[in-house]
Amino acid sequence: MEYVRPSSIKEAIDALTEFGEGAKLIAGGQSLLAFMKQGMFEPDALVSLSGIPELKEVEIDEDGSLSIGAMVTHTEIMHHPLILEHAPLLAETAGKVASTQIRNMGTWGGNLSHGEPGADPPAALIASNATVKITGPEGTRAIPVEDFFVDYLTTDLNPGEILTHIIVPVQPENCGTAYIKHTIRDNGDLAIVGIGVRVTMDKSRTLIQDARIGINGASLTTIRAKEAEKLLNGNVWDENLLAAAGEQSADACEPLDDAEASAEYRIKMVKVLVRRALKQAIDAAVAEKAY
Amino acid sequence: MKQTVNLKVNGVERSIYVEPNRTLQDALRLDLEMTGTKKCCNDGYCGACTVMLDGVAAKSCLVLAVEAEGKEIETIEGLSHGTELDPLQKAFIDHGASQCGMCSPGMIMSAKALLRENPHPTKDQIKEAIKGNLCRCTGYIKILDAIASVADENEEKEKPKELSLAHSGKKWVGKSVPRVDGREKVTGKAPYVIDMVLPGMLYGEILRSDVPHARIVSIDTSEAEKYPGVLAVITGKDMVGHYGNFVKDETGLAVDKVRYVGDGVAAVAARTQEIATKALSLIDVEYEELPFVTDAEKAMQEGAPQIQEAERNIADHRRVVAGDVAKGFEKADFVYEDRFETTKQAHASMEPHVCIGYWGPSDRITLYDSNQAPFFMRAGISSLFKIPASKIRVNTPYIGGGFGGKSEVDAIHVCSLILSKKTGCSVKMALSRDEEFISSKTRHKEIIYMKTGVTKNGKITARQIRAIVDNGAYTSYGPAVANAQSMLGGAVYRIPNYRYDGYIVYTNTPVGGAFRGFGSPQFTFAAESQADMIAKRLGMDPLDFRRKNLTQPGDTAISGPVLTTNGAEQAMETAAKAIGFEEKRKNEAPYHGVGLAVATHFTSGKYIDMNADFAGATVKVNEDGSVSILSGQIEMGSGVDTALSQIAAEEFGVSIEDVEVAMNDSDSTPPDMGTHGSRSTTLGGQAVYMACQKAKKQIAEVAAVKLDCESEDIIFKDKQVVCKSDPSKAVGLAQLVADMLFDGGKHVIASAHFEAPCSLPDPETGVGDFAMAYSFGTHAASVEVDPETGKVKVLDFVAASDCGNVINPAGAEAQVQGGAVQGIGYSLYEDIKIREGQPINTRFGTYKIPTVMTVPPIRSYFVETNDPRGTYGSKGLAEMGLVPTAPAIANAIEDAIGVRIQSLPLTPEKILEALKEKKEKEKQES
Ligand SMILES: Cc1cc2nc3c(=O)[nH]c(=O)nc-3n(C[C@H](O)[C@H](O)[C@H](O)COP(=O)(O)OP(=O)(O)OC[C@H]3O[C@@H](n4cnc5c(N)ncnc54)[C@H](O)[C@@H]3O)c2cc1C
Ligand code: FES
Ligand code: FES
Repeated sequence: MEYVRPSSIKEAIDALTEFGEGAKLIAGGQSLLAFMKQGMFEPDALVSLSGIPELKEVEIDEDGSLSIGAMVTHTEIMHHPLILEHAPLLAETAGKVASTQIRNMGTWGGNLSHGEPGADPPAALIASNATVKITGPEGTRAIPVEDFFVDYLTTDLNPGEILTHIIVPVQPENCGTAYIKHTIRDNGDLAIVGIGVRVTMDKSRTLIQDARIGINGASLTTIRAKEAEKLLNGNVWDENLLAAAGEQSADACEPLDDAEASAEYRIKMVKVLVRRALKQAIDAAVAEKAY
Repeated sequence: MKQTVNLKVNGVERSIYVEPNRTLQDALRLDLEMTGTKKCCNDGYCGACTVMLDGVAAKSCLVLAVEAEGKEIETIEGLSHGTELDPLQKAFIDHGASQCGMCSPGMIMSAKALLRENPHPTKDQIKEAIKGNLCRCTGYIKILDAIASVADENEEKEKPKELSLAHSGKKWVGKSVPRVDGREKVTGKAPYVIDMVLPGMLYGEILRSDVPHARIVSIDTSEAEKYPGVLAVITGKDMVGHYGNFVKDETGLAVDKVRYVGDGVAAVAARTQEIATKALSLIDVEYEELPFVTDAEKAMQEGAPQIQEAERNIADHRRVVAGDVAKGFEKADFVYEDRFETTKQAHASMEPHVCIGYWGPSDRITLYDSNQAPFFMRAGISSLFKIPASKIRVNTPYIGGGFGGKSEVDAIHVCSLILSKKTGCSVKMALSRDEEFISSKTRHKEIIYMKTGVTKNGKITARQIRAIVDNGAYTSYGPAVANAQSMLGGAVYRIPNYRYDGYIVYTNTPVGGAFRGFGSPQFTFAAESQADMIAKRLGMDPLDFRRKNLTQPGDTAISGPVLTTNGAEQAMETAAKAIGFEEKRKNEAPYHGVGLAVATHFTSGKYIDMNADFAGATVKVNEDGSVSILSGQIEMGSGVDTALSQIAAEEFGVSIEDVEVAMNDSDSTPPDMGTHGSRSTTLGGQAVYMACQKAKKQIAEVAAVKLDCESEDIIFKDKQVVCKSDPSKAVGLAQLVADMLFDGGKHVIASAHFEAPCSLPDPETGVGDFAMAYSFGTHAASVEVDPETGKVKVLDFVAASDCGNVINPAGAEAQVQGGAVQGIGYSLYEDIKIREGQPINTRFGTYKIPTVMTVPPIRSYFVETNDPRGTYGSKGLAEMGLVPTAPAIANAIEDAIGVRIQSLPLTPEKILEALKEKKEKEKQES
């Protein structure tokens, strides 16, 4: 097996292109090596992203949005002052990923690119209206996170492309957020269902201006529950409305039956947990300090 | 392409030349020979490989060595300097936080990283820091205590109470002596077979069937044989015969057909493990698939697929017939029959099954083996290969957890020896974590129909059980599991008429074997769930129902056990009081519940069709007054080496530091049935005690002459041999033994054999006092259930145990905590799931054992009874630790939300389903 550690994005793309099909990027290696050990990936070349400084940066862009380099780890996201200030939902979510050791090494670029439906960051990013910046032989493009996931362990990345940054736009005023992770054992496991929501309230504190719902674990990919969001937007909230949004969200899911849980159970959990997550987010939004 | 990688490990620069896909873990373990960093899984979940990279914790199996270049790598080896330990390591020893020790280095490294960053973490922060480190032995509580004690010097943990032996003036026995193997384990230096490499050693791997039932049409090994680095390939044709404790139905590799997914079909020996694995992929097996059956009840039906030569797939039928159940049911006011179902639980020892076999040129066999019963291993190998036992040396260092799973000949032993004979090299074979789940033994899944007759006052009049024991594809200990549960099943309650029928039934699934509890957890889940169900049907308090029926000291149980001592009722009352049973039952927050269950378990015994139940020990007193013990017991985490040392120190009046327990080596250790069945302290201890008496007699005879007194008047105290009636007459033990050796023509050595006083069950009725003692215990749990998600949280847990007198209170508490947590896993999560013949959860990521986050506070109480048959009045304990857990939790769930789950595990899905049914029923009724 070949291994290279380029020092720029361009060099990394060149290396990927040169090695061709059998090459893989390695970020934190936390998913990649686990899969290699189990014989599920057998790359013949690895291109390491660990030598590229710009992928490790967290910055505020000119338009005020937050830019998180693909190589920023879960642990860094939990504690980074800019993230805690501008996108606390992401810090909260990072804290619910796996265990300390995995969080110290694993990156969000790697997490998204791996495309695991039960991973945590995707739903939180969808709720935050984030996009990913992708650079490849054909140049640079940006797409919303919700469009990034194509199928089980499959993303929109083309051969030779690298996810370089996660861009989180300025979060609206008066919004509250929540990420609920549901597992049978504890947060060290992949989510059976993970719900990330952001609810923006109007000044009245009762009317939902804009809701965003991301759902992990309940389909072949993370999904955005758009119909449920529509149900909420522009309406005064009450428990029934939230429950209806839960039901509607479940309609958008096509879960897997696996060793962890049945498809039916996942659907039930989407209903319950979307409702609970919305309630948590609304409570946070209307809490004194949010205004 | 291989390249040079420079690693800075514990401050020292090291260079290795490896492929870039070399993990840091393998670089440390194989290239740098630093095996303190452990390897226990293949999906990144266990954390045993944790090291620090630039000061933060990382799993070294998920980091490439090349990627660690330029980083400061710290491993467990860097924490201690010579014999000087890190405070965390000391704390792990002081708190008994290390049992088998396999998880300890990783655990300590995770804790170290935490304390570096945050010297005074909260309990929750400590939990979060070790959440990614699995431990199968301790139940985590002592680990948390150990870390907390370093984080906060003021953190004073309540020490386990001193119990009766300590109060009776004993110096070592009855005290919470720290473990004698602690230093080895917390430094990562303890020897385990999984870490061993011998010169010229080959690596063996087994190709396993991916179909549940098929005739083997052909196996083409030619490509594999040609592959560079492969030295031998074997198949079923190379097998030498059948083996098995009850039914000789195993061969090692399948000969004619495969019977479950995971059955071995071929094996290779190669220069490296990578080559061996690669070679497996070159073997071509043609199968003719056969219909398969994975449900034991279906397997018993006429016309079911035939798995072995056994009518209706019934390998064996075991029964107890006592009294007349028909008459008993006639006398009853109510007869209830309920069906219960349990799961296939995996042992999930952190160290996998592993051996290194060597077949020498003079047909002398050496087997390094992670095994709980080396004496049986030697006997098994001897009879299978027809080699005299004297030519077989089974060498067993520490073992990284066993729980019953490492107590018989397995395919790895057979294959490694055949491959070694073919190649002339020693061959190491270890199961991968997937193989551990698929192809090592499991706890038998059972379907239990329990029919109980009661009077309206709640007195039991009769009980009849029909148990279908899912054997899996081969037999192993199935019949013994049925035997044990059949006899124990009659010992908790006074049952005037009793009948048990256990059918051991083949299915195309992983094989059931010996597992901590040995039939009791399954039976107790049924019996104690039903106890609550009956109490509810009768409108009785569940404690009252039990009080009315529990057996008492001095009873002879209907199934045979003579309950000389019996702390059942006292344990129940103790546990009920401690958990606040009566108050909680009366007024409880919604969705909160409390439940308990009572159980019994044996202290070893005769349940394996052999009229023997023995332990052996040899004791040597050395010329410096120190004592060496050769015992047939194995230190697999239970603390037996410590208990044996306490006994010898007590008997010779020396310090525990003067006692050393030798590693088990069948060339020198006396015959002993090994470590299982809660027998090590009781039976193994008794053998040591007896050997001590013999050795003391040898010394006393010489001392009597020297001190001019009667040899009966000699006592051993404070390293002196003293004349009791005139303590001024004394001589140092060291002096005396040295004189005997250098000036008296005598050495001091004595061997003893302890045969447990018990009997085989009657062949006709199955009734028997089959064990030398019976322990009792109650677990009580309080839980909270989320009615919308079905998730159960165990809030509080109490275990009250009657294990006779307690030899080491801290060690006993550790056994109970570890057992209870395994029991919580059995209750809530653990089940090898089979779909269409395929096991689907074969890794720690999908087969969930408890983590530190799932562990409630566990308080343990000891109800001491002074048993006349055990060492210093002790009875067995290790297995009792998990026997009543599952029904206690099931009963608590019922109390919380009013639904009864009759199958394990008690999953959220089942709970929601049951709630739904309950609601529908209530709707219909109203
Ligand atoms: C035991 C365990 C438990 C876990 N639990 C959780 C959990 O609870 N929640 C959760 O969300 N995740 C969990 N994970 C996954 C973890 O978060 C991983 O760290 C993460 O998914 C992958 O990040 P990485 O940096 O290690 O990526 P790698 O493993 O290095 O890479 C993953 C994949 O992405 C590709 N890749 C990496 N970076 C890029 C990039 N910048 N551009 C394009 N492709 C790229 C790689 O080629 C590879 O195919 C767990 C993992 C383990 C081993
Ligand atoms: S061996 Fe690394 S996590 Fe299990
Ligand atoms: S001591 Fe933790 S696994 Fe044995």
